[in-house]
Amino acid sequence: MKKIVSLLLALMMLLGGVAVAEEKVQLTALQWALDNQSATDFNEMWYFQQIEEKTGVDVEFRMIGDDVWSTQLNLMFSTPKEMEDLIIRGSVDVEEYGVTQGLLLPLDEYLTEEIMPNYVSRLPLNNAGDSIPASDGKSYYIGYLIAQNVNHNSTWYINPELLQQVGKEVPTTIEEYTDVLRAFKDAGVKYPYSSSNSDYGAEHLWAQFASFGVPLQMYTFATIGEDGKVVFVGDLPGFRACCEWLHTLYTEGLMDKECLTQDSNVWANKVNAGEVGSFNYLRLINTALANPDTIQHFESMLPPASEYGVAVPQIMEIPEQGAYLTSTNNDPVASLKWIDAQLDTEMMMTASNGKLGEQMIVNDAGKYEVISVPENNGLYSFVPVAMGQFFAPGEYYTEVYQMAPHRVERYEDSQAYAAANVLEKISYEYLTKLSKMDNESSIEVANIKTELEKFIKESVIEFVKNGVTDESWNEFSETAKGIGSEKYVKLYQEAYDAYLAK
Amino acid sequence: MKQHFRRLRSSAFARFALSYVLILTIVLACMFAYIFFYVEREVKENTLNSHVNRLSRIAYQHEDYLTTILNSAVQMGLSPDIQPFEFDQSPQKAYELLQQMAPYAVTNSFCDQMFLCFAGEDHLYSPSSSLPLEMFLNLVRYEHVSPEELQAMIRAPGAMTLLPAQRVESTLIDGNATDMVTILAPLGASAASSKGTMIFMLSEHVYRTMFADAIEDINNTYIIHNGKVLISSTDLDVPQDVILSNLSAGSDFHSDAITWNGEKWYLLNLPSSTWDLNYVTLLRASAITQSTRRSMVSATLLVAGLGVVGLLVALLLARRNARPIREIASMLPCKEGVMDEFSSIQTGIRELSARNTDLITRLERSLPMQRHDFVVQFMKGRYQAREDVVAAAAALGMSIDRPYYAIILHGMQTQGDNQPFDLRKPPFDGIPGTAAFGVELMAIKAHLYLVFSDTREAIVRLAEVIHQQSTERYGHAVVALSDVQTDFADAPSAYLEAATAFDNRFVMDDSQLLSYASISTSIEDILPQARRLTDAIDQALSLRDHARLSGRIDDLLNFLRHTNMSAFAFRLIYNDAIDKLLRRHAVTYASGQGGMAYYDIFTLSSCQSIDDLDQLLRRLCASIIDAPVADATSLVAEETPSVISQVADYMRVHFADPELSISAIAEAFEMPTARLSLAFKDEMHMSPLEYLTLLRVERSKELLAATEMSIKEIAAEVGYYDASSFIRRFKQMTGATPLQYRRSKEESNDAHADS
Repeated sequence: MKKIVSLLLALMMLLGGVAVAEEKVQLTALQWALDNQSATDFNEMWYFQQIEEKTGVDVEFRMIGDDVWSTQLNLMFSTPKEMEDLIIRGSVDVEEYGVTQGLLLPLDEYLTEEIMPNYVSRLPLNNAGDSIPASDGKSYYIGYLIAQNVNHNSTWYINPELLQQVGKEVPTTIEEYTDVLRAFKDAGVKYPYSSSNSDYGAEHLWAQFASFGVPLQMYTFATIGEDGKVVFVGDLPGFRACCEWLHTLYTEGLMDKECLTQDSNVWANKVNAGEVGSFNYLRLINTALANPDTIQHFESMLPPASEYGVAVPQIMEIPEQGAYLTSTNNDPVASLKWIDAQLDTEMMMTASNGKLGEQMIVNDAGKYEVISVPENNGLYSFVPVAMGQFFAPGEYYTEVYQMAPHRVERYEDSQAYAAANVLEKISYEYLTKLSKMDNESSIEVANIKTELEKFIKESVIEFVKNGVTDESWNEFSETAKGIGSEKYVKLYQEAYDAYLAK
Repeated sequence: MKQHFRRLRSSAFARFALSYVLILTIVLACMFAYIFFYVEREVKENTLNSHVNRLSRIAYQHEDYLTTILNSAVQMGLSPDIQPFEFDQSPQKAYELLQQMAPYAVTNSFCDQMFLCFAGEDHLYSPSSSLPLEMFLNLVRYEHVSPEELQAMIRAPGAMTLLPAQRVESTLIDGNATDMVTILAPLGASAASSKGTMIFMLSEHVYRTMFADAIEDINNTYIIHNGKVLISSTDLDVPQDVILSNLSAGSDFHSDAITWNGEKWYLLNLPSSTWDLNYVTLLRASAITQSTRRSMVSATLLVAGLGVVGLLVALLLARRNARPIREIASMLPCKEGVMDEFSSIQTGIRELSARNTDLITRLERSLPMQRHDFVVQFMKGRYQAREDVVAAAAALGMSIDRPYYAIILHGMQTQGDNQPFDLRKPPFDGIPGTAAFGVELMAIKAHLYLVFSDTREAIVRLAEVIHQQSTERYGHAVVALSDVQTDFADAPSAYLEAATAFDNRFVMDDSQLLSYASISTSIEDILPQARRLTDAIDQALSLRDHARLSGRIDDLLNFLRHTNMSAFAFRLIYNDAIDKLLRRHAVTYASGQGGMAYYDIFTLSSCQSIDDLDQLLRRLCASIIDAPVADATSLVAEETPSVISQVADYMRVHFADPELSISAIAEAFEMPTARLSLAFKDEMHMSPLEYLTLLRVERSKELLAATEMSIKEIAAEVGYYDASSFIRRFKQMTGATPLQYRRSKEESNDAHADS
């Protein structure tokens, strides 16, 4: 009798188990899409069918193109009862909709080994999770990060064959560098040093300011000192010295006189023509520097040091926003498990690069390596690529992924610059990406920056052409103040202090 | 089968269907003929026109680009902010120049590249960069222009120069190599300013967009400048020489037919003198032919489609129209052997027409009877409205819608055929504007004519003619005429008027027309004269003068004969006269009862005419004048007023009894009728009959005013056997019919109620 009862119970449990297994969690998602991929439909995508099989979570996507993302997002938040369960990719004002309105779900209590093992294990690497908490200390999104283990944009390059020809070593100081350029000129090099006027370009003339301890770039004209004080770059002592040095290069014909006016295309043509002895750029392997016969003769070097120190603008690999749960989410645990399933290494690599064995293999080193890329964005027909989930801090990414040569080049240069301690001590991205300002302050900072940018550009050109006198320097300093450099610094200081206080 | 086919062919459906299909065929044939003769020409003209419009659009757009380019070169050359400088000396100015050029780059966004080169300078400037001229010449490689030629053009541009499209290779250009049209323009108002040169490079993509609406393999589009092809589309593989050699001169648009490679082509040429440009389209002639064929096929299919639809519609219409005909045919009597519906209808209509004629004949025969009924109904006032009367009369062929009407009564003759006159025949038809209809009234032995007329005079004239004709035909005539009426509702009154006048034939001179209007209804005017004449007779009796007596009697009778009076008035007068004579001379014939016989009610009531009175009066006077003198005081015995009062009371109680008569009253009170009448009149100043009539009329007035009883019911209520006697008596007493009286009382009551 007991056996019969046991058999019946077992049968009921089996049937119950089958029923539970077949019962899927139904969720909805507002999915951001690239402008050129807004027609892509995730609801029928092979990749998400695999994820659904693994997790038992069926997500119904509503695809929203980038051009209408803000509008659709605002519409969704305006009717909270009808919000989707998930928001995937796309930018959301976390402070407004998470901290203030409470329409986003804080995720901290769910970030456990049990629910999100992949994500939680990578968060501490490279301090990748540091920037995620909002002003209330809560995390409202899952990060999205494709780290390359790079720490700066502009690297110094020099032609070693020319060095050998003129009997010089790779320069380490600004004086040595100047001598090398003079030697290049004497050796008939048309442009001993060349750069462009392309804004935000790594080859821009402003990269040279790093050799004088001035981390000058286009994103902000403030930098954080080692003491935590924010400073206007024009107030750094190396700024005037660099301008005077550049004037020397200009007057002696050591630099391309068109550095101030030529675009990157003209500059690249000069490099490709073998007419340039030294320059700054992102990396050697790229499409602009298309003449391999020329490029193979260059090698990277550390920035020449001056008495003002060296401060190459440092960049950080900060996660973007990958996924959010709305406050009306039906099943946060299932939602986060569904996201974490996409962060499984193989699934994550597949999402970004294609199917294993077709577009990607695991090479002898045990790393995932891309072997082919379908034409015409063909990947998007079966995997989400840049619209999916990815969280790979540099430390983790380099272990599992066979990086392309151009990425390896930047990685190695970054390692060298970090080792030589030539980077800006505290990255300027603490100001531009991590420190938060209120709306009014943000607008004021942006307005001052616009004026400062125009003023610094014209001033540098003026200093390069005519040199720097006490009078012109004082005028520069006073004018910068008149534009609002002090207010500019003050606002950033407050924001940075607030960030540190958190 | 054969019979079935014949039946189908002769059916209404087949006839309709055949007619419609025939019309449809003619219409479609006309449409097809139009298409056949005109489509080819229309298609050709439309095709050429569309290409001309396309060329005009291309010319407009291209020259708009050229104008923009030229304007930019002029404006930059004239700008005080753009002045020549040496790059090596003033790199700051180069930076500023780039800023200055930026807006022009937006204006000329259709250009792939835009460069400025100051005269004598070694640098070029684009909105984003500066570069050495030498570098430009080395990096930008034209397929058909050497660097030296290009440099020469840049150094000395002259007027605007357009370099035909050719392959340009350069790392400065996106994609490294592409076909470009290059335009060199002097910097400034003219080449003479020698300020410098502007270089604009337009990618072939700009022109491809312009030519994008061309239909592949049908035409090529060319822009020709100075005898060279600046750029062209390449849909057709036709050598440019063919175009250039066949291009005719001229400043206006023209099209030429040319033959190349054994094929016919059209060359459409739109010259533009502004830039010395020709916009040309080479069009394959077969394309037009194909278009024409396509249009013909389409049109034919359309006509065929319309034909099918039209055929269906025709059959549906034929079926729809044939159905009622078939139904009509089935309803009509049809002879056997008639096969189709139209013949059936034809035969049926003939049959119906014959039957109708028979019916009309029968109807016409019964017309007099119907007219008689109509006249009777009319006289009784049975129609509710004038329209009903007119319609009923029209149905009997009587046109009575005229403003006036009257009733004529014509006494029957005892001899002859005694038919009413046919007033539609002469001499009665000589009176215009009248319509009259006659019927027999056997009850009063008279013919009644109902006369409608446009004028009152015509009615009177017709009555006179009837009187005249009757007199001529029978030697004697009694013709009575009612008043002329206008309201059809007054028809009963008119009849009563005519009847009253007719009744007066006994007391009036019937040698004349008896007109109701001429009867004096008041005896007040007549009675005093009659009494004076009676007194004269009395005097003659007292004198026992026979001659005098006869003369006085004649005087009285002549007076009465020539006085228009009603029968009622006549009776009052002769009662009064006889009563007076009897009273005065009662002693005279007290010894005998002969005189009293003259005052018997039946004797008196039989006195209906003046001739009757003549005889009665002469006999009475003769008996008086010839009788011995006696005590006449006993004639009027001791009847006391109390007895008469009782008689009056008795009458007031029993007046509603139709059996109540003077003789019945006399019998009830055991008195001789004559004594009762004399005593009653002596005390009540009216005869018992008058008193009885008075009681009945007064009672009927109350009933008319206070109840809704019908005239007939009231007549019975107050003691009359028939309504017509009551109505006649009532009108004699009151001058109005009972109905008129009731209406007048109602109007009076309404007026009181309103006030």
